[in-house]
Amino acid sequence: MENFIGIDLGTTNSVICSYDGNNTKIWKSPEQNDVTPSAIYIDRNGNKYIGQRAYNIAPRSPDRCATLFKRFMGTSTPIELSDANHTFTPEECSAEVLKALFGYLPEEIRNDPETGTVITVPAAFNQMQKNATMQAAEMAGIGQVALMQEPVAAVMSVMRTRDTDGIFLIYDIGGGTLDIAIAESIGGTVNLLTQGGIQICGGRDFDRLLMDNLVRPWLLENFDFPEDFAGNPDYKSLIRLATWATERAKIELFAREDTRISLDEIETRTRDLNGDEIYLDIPLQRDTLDSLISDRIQDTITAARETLSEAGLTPNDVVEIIWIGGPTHYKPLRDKVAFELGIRGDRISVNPMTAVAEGASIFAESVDWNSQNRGRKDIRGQISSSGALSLTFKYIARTPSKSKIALQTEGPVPIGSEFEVKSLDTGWESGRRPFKNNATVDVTLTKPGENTFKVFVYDDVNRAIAIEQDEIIITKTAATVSAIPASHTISLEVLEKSGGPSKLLHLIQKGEPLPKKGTLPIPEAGESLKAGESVTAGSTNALIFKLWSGEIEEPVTDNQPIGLLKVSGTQFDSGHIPMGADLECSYEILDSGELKFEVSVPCIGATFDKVYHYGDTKVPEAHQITEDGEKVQERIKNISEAVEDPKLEQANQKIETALKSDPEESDLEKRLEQNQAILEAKELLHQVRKENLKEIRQIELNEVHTFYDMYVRQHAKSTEGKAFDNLVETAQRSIDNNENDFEDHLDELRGRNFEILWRQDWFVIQRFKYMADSPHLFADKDRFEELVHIGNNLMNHEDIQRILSNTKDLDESVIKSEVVDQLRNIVAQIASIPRIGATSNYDEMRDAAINILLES
Amino acid sequence: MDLLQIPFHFLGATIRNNKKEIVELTTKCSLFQDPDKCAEASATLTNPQNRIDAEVGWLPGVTPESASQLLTLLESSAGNQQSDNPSTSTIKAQSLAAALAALPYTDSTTVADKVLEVLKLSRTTHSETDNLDSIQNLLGIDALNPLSHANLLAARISRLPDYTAVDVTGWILEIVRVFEEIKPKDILKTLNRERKIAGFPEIADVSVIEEKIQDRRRYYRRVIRSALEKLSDEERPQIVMAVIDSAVGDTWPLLIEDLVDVYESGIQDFLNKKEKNIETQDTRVREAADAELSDEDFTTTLDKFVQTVEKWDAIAQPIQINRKRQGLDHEDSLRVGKDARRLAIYLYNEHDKLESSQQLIGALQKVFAEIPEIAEQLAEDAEALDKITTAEEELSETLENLKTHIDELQQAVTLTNIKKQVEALQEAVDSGNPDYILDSRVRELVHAIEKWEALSQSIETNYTIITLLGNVALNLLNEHNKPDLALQIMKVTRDVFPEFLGITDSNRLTALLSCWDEVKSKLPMKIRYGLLADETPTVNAVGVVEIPCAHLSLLSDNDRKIIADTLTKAVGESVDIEFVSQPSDSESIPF
Repeated sequence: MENFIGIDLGTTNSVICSYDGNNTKIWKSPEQNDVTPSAIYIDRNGNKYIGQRAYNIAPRSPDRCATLFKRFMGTSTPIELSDANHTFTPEECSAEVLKALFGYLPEEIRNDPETGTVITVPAAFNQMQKNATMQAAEMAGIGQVALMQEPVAAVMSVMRTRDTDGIFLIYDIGGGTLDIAIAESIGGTVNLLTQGGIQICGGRDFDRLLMDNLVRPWLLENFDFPEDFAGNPDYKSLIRLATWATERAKIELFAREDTRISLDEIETRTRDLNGDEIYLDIPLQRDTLDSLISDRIQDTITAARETLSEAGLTPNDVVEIIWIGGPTHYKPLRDKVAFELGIRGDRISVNPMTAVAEGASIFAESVDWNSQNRGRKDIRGQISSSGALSLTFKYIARTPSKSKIALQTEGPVPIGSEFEVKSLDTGWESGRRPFKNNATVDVTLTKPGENTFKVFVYDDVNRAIAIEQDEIIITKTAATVSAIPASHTISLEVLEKSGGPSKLLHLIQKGEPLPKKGTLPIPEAGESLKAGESVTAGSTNALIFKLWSGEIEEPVTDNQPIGLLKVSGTQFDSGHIPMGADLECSYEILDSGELKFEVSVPCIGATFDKVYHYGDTKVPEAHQITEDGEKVQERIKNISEAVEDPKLEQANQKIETALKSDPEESDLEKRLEQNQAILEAKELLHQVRKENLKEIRQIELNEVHTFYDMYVRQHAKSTEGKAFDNLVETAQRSIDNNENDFEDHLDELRGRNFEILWRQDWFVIQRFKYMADSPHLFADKDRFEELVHIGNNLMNHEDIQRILSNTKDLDESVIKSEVVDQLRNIVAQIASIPRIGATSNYDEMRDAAINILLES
Repeated sequence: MDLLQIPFHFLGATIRNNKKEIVELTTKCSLFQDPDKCAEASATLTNPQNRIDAEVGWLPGVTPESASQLLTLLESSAGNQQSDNPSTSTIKAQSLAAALAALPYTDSTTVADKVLEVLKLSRTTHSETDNLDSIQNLLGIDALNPLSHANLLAARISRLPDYTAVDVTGWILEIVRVFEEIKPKDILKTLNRERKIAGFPEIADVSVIEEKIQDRRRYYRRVIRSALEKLSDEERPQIVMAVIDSAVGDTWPLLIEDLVDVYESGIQDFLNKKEKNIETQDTRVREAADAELSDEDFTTTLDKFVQTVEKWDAIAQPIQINRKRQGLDHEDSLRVGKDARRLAIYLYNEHDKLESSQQLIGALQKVFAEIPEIAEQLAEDAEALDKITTAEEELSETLENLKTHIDELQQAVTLTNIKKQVEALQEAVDSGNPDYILDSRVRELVHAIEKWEALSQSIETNYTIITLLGNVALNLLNEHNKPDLALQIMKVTRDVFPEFLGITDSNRLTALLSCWDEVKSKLPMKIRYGLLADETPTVNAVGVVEIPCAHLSLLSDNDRKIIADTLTKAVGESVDIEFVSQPSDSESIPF
């Protein structure tokens, strides 16, 4: 018999469950717990411990323990157990946990080659994280493995226990991530309508909030610590213990109104600078916890609302909230979320800790483990008969509710013939039905698992006609998910034309049903994909295929990079890929959201498959986070001057939180959180731009048009003026019709402004002087000095043509990202640019206008 | 997505089926079709958000029954099968009629009238495609909302029995028109109405519809592209221009812009080929100029070049018009225009072919009128060439004037000199100087006369000199019996003034002058004594012999003829004669 396993590989806790077609079974840890902490401990003798024991020891021996490594999956961040002289990768850590869990299973299941295992990943997981999870499974030697998204698993589990139709909101908050899923059950079939969530949001964050706002201040108030207390290795153990105690207290609060965060001196074994033994004894009430986690809960509510909105639904459309994950044990959290969303949430329908694993095991049963891509089992079956009567009975072989059997005949149908279906399990009979093509019979399935039916055929005188195959087995499944929407948009970065701006060519868009196979280009869409440069066999030239996750069109780099596939000259022995050669990409995105991608180059007859580079994806350093954050903050500021949107304030708050960090922050998890905050801020910026696109574009267009009228038109030829006006109208139409080419037109308009200005002697000279005074704009200092020297000489000779040529050379050397800024600056210096809107002070006007120009 | 590929059609569902019904249909569909595709269709239709694509691509606002029948007809038109069975056509037509009669938002009388037309058509033609073409007429009326109308049109364009230029143009014009009528707010209302029936939540935000309409627009664009691709490279520009011409004002319907875009991307290869032809012709023109071919041959080569450019331009024209309207450049046109212009400049600068250059610039101005940058340059070039022409002409005129002036001065000197010489001769003759002095004077006179340029002088001046010389010659002949000297003068007069004398042979002139009496003696007495004056005939400035007549009015035609014949006989050839009135001394009456 096939065994189907589901593993919930969580940030703080993991669970393993099996399903035999009828019932699920949670396999307990040696400590007889349903859940196993995702923790690893290596003792002094090099023995490895996984689970509860590791989790209990971790606070006292943090440098011998690894926890929360799920948060680093998909990065190249090392997990260092310094005291144990051991460094793991996040995948290795996950592999250890998987191995331990798998070990709970009986040997006959573990060793059965037919056993199929589904491991869940958060919907918010990106490609790298998913791939890392598969790697971990491989390292754990689990055998047949498929991934699936946690919300889908949760839905499967929920729907198994319900027989009513309706739309449900699955609120799954675990230790590290929040997943929101909107699912609908229709006649036993479940559709996942949409998914959302927050990648870094879970019980762990609540622990940190308590630590940062309650425990640390209490410690600092009651004891004497050095200034570098946070990073001081002498207190690392104390902090870990305090975190552990905080978490313990938090969990106690789930069942009580108040508790204490406590650690005695024996446990802490640490003294402060005064030599006093350190302990913890902090009262903790629900009110305190509630207020501390309030913002975070609000974030989850916002995520839920967005997910609902994406599905085109309102709270009125939702029957109830299904709670999954440890933190949902906390009633105030449930109450708040339910209240704010306006959806019923007073019941706990499934075990929040084990539902995901159960759902995963049920889903495992629907996987076709014989297929390479772990697609779903075919739901259709058929039996055929030839000879005197050529017929086929087609039927729905797998369904959670009713099934259908259809008769298809070939050739002439004997008049008066009939057929009948009978249940061998219950004796039910369909009654005689006329023998005609495409006739159907509805059958009811009475028991989970296999239900057997037999078909009978009769001639016109009621004689039974023997048919070769007459038995039909229909499996009543626990639940069927018919559609899993993609949780992210995945795209290939391309250039619309050589030297032009990047754009995204979607492989799949968020919300599209999985699985999906496809090719690029799409001929029906009139697209073609061409090589942007030539590559010869043996050369180091390469075509780079960059893949992104996210929906931000501008700039493309605001999205999450998935990785890249390289077609390099070193990868093929002979031939040449000329620039402009046709390229073909084919891809497959599985139910789990995993991506398979390959590139064919017809002109050399080669395919480059599974060449998949992650790139360096370490958790960014603190200073990188700060720089990135500041840039985003500047963008927020600029866009705020054009539009008002509460999302901008949200984005700003996220950035401020990220920027509040210590530039020397060494805590990986904290940096990950901060980086995630910046990514979320970028996403919010994108949403604001998208929602206010018309207004923003209109302001940009008005600005460039006004500028032209005021400062450039007088120098333009009449045909240039007319062409400019026509292009402004074209750009206006792009705004009105919400088209994608507006930014191209805007760039063209700006370019024309400067093209005409370049023809003016005064502009050329001012430009030269400005650049000569701005050496910081130039990467190549030698070249800069050379050109400035030439330019100064030319100035003396008043050779304007050569000055122009020299100035243009200088201009081309400018670090490109600054060009538009500096151009605008120089023009702002030459001519006072009034702000759109009224201000009275010249400098303020000019600066404000420059800011608008900079933003656009 | 094509109408027949929309999940509604795939599952056999209507826009008003609720979720349960859709799931039921999915189960049935899975029995006969690919279950994954059925599941995908079901997932799309049951998902309130994903469903919008399908709704917008379908026939919202059309009753399910009508939609079904319309699609049946559409499907049956795909094979373009002629129906042999008139009853089948009639049935289909009747179904169509019934379907159309059920259409909402229509004036039923109008629909009924149209339906009757359809029935008549179907009875006579038995063609399914005729039925569908009749839909074309019917679709022209407001029986469908614009979105459904456009979807049907797009589906139809993808299934035309023949892709002729006329048909494709007509269908494109229709879909262009209909697309402009689509209003997102109306679509939103329609869809929400349908959703209410189907039990789906309403769509709240019209921007979603706007986005989906843009998706539909991209689909219509693809359909138009496919239709264009079925036509020849020569036909495509004509179609596009015909559609462009239908646009009123500077604001084009959106699909016309799209049409030009797809046309541009599809015609690029052809355009590039034609551009190579231009390059070849350019080279030939240059070679012809370098080889200094005859004007005729060179002009032929240049004309060929111009024709090639014009052919290229005919293909590029829609793109140029569109770009100009958008305020954007068409790089290919800029390149071709600049190269052609360079050729014109080359012809003038290197080969001084001003006229050819002007001709070429003129032709290019017409061709590149839609390319402002080129048009401006060409206008400047034309102006510059005109100025050169004018300057050359002015220079030429100045030189001419100067030459004339110099000539005049020269002639003035010569005239004075002739007069002086005549006076000197006359004086010498009158003084009775010896012959050798007279010879010398005659020689000087002849020398002066030889410098005279008769053709560049006025007739009056020439005649004055002729008369002067004639008189002095006659005087020498008649008064002083010096025929040799007279002959010298007459000879040189004849040589210098042949056009004015009318007689090139001085012998004949001499014969005329010397034998006038003899000529007169041969004339009838009546003429001799009655009509002719006593004066000797003279030769005027244009070489006509003027015979003085005393009674001109009495000189009949016969008389004139007799005189002319006699004179001709005497001279030896035909002479121009004019009879001038000059009364005789005697008052004798002619007889």
